[in-house]
Amino acid sequence: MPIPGVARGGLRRTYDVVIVGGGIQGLALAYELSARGLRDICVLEAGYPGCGASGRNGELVRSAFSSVEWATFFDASLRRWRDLSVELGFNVLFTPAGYLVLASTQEELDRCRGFAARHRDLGLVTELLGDREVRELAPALNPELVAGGVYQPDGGFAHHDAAVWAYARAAARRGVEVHPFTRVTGIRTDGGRVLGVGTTRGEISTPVVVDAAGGHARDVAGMAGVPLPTTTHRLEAIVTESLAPFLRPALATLHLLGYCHQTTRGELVGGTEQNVMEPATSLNGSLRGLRDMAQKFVRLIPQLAGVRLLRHWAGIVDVTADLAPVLGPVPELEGFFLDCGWVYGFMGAPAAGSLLAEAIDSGNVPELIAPFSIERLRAGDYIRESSLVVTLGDA
Amino acid sequence: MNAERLDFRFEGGVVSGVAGQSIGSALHAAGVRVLSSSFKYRRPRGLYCVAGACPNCAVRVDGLPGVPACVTPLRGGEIVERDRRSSVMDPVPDRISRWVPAGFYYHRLPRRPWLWLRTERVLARIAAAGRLPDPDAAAALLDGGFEERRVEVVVVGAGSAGLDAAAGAARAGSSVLVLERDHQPGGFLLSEPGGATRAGELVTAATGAGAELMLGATALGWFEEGLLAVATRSGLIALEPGRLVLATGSYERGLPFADGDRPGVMLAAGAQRMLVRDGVRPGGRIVVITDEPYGHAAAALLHGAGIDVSVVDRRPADAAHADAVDAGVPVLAGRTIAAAHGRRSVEAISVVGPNGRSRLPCDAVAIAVGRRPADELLLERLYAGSVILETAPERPPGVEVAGER
Ligand SMILES: Cc1cc2nc3c(=O)[nH]c(=O)nc-3n(C[C@H](O)[C@H](O)[C@H](O)COP(=O)(O)OP(=O)(O)OC[C@H]3O[C@@H](n4cnc5c(N)ncnc54)[C@H](O)[C@@H]3O)c2cc1C
Ligand code: FES
Repeated sequence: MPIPGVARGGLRRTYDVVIVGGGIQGLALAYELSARGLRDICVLEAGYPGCGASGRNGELVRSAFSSVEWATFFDASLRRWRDLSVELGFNVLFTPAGYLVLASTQEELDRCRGFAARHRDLGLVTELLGDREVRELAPALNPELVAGGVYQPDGGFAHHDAAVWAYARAAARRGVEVHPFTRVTGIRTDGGRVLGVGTTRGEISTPVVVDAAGGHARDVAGMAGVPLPTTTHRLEAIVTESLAPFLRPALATLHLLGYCHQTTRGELVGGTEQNVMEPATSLNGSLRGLRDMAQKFVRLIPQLAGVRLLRHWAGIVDVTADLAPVLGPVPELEGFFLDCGWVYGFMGAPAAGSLLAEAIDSGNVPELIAPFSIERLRAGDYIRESSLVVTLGDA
Repeated sequence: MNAERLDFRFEGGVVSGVAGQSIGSALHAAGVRVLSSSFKYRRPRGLYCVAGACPNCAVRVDGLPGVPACVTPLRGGEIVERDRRSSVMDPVPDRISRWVPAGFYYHRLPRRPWLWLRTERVLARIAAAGRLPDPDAAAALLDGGFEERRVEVVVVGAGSAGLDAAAGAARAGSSVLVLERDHQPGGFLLSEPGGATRAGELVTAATGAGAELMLGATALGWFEEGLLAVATRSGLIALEPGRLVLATGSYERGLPFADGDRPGVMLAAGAQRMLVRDGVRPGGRIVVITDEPYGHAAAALLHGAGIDVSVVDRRPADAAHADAVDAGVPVLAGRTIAAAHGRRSVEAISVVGPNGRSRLPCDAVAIAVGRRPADELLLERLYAGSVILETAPERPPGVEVAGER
């Protein structure tokens, strides 16, 4: 199936908005900007739409996070996921099969108890489960690793390619140009303003540039002279052969630092992190990563021993010190916006797209994304989120 | 062959085969054609490449799924089952298939999300029908070991090129390890009469010079740590090769035509291997589809085993007849296959040519339309880390390619 929504024509010399990066973030933002009535928007993508992390992720969707900042922002996104297929006119295959944050120790269960209480205050629908309830919900799990957890019944997963295609197609229908195989090589600025971008297909003038370059976001910000305090990391994932349904909810395990779900097609898709996440820009799979995933998933679901893997792959993400995204304007450079630093950027795309579009269009940063500013990173004023299954080692 | 007879269980009954055969050939000899079924629509599938290189013959052996029957030697006493029921036994998926064409769920269902939620559950039941391993079989695997090894020269593939390269490197004084996925060395030699003997001589030359040969060892992939991961029955080995010789040979090409996945439709070297290596006739009446000289050679070999064989050659008559080897094999030139017929396995094919369409009854089809290099490991090594293939990479130092491609 050809990728929908891709422009075939040439590049124009001027646009009102240039978005660097055709991942789910750049495409969702382009769609939302056009939905607000902005015209002359283009998305420049070095490869093809979805070739970055957006086509390589674990496709999980939840808002059951521990901090107020994460939980409220991602809940706005989760609510959008439910009706996204209807809105975009293309099935993103969102399946609200439920999302379980699995606790394997008493300490982890206490942590879960803490954020389940916060969810109640925030109006999120989650339940704190004990070991027996988790075993009923997911009987395939190794009972030794089940102490309890937080369960979000309307979380789940979608299909990553379908979501990228849906946004690209919906954006293109509103006149957005998505140009594949067009790499941004420089950003022109003058007197604290953005003037345009240089690309492998020529120069473009524009007053607004958005950095949505995923694992290359730091390089792109650097082109504008904006130092981005991020490091690039590789995440790896595996997929097994198709098996009859044995796991209904999506899940994240705090103990093993892993996440997985069984797709409608029956494959188990998931990834794990090792204790120290080393900076890497390679898209190669590592044997270390493959063994870590195989061993942990077999520990989590013992009957997976002997199941064959179909594929193993890697993707890169550019992460901040608190693992939260960077969203919004850059104070010293007018017309330059950041939509990067994403580790959970698949599930976050619907809300990020609409809220950042509002910020760009109206000039006011909406409250839900205000905490994710670049200023917080510069001030070292980090967001504390303790339900993540990725880690920078010291977190 | 008066080799030892071995009994095993298949779907509740007892089947007997011969020592040295693969499980797949033994089942074929016993008349079993359907070994697995396709994803989603569950079309019946059976032996196709007979080289461990396609998904069609995966069966469940002693509680473990996904075992390629065509390259797994028969031990006797094993319990073999189909992992998924095909639509022949359970026609629902095939019947609903006209309502669920490929990709339908992207376009038809977005306006009715509730319908997707229901469809999703039904699809999961139909499409995802592989079974998990039996708990005991799974538990037994957990003892598998992990070992790291440095070897001066690693040769992947024990065909004639690999074995020859191994002998040469060993004679020159290097430590050499030859990896072979199959349980028998020889590669394409095993499809030729006398090939096993020739393979034996090559093995003697290589091991005599000091090379080590590891059978049932699949080189899984090249990893960025500079390691070649190898899966064996007893665990995982991470090899750090000083030099890597890729002698992985080639795959036979397939040919697309209607119902071309029916059991009985095979690749020609696979059909030959079944006959020569395992002593099992792929069929009683075989049509070879070809446009290459080796298709005619395959036809002659099969005919020599007493099989009723004809050749459909896609080229014009002069080229087709020039390559014909065996006067007892009729050649239909300037024609090609349009469809296979038969519900469970092939019973006839349709052949089209300038004079229209005709039907040939047969119980097997052998496709001989060329080969392509088995170059996955080479490509992995060459394109390591690249995302977008803008330029052709150079061959990295320390990697050699051996053999005919
Ligand atoms: C293995 C793995 C599992 C994950 N699991 C989940 C999960 O379960 N849930 C979740 O929410 N998130 C998950 N993520 C994270 C998620 O995939 C990312 O956060 C998200 O895809 C980021 O989207 P993006 O559009 O910002 O980046 P990307 O999809 O990486 O897009 C950036 C694009 O920019 C392009 N680009 C870069 N430089 C330039 C340039 N100079 N000019 C033009 N284009 C350029 C790239 O080619 C790329 O296509 C996972 C990631 C990985 C790798
Ligand atoms: S793998 Fe056995 S027939 Fe192809």
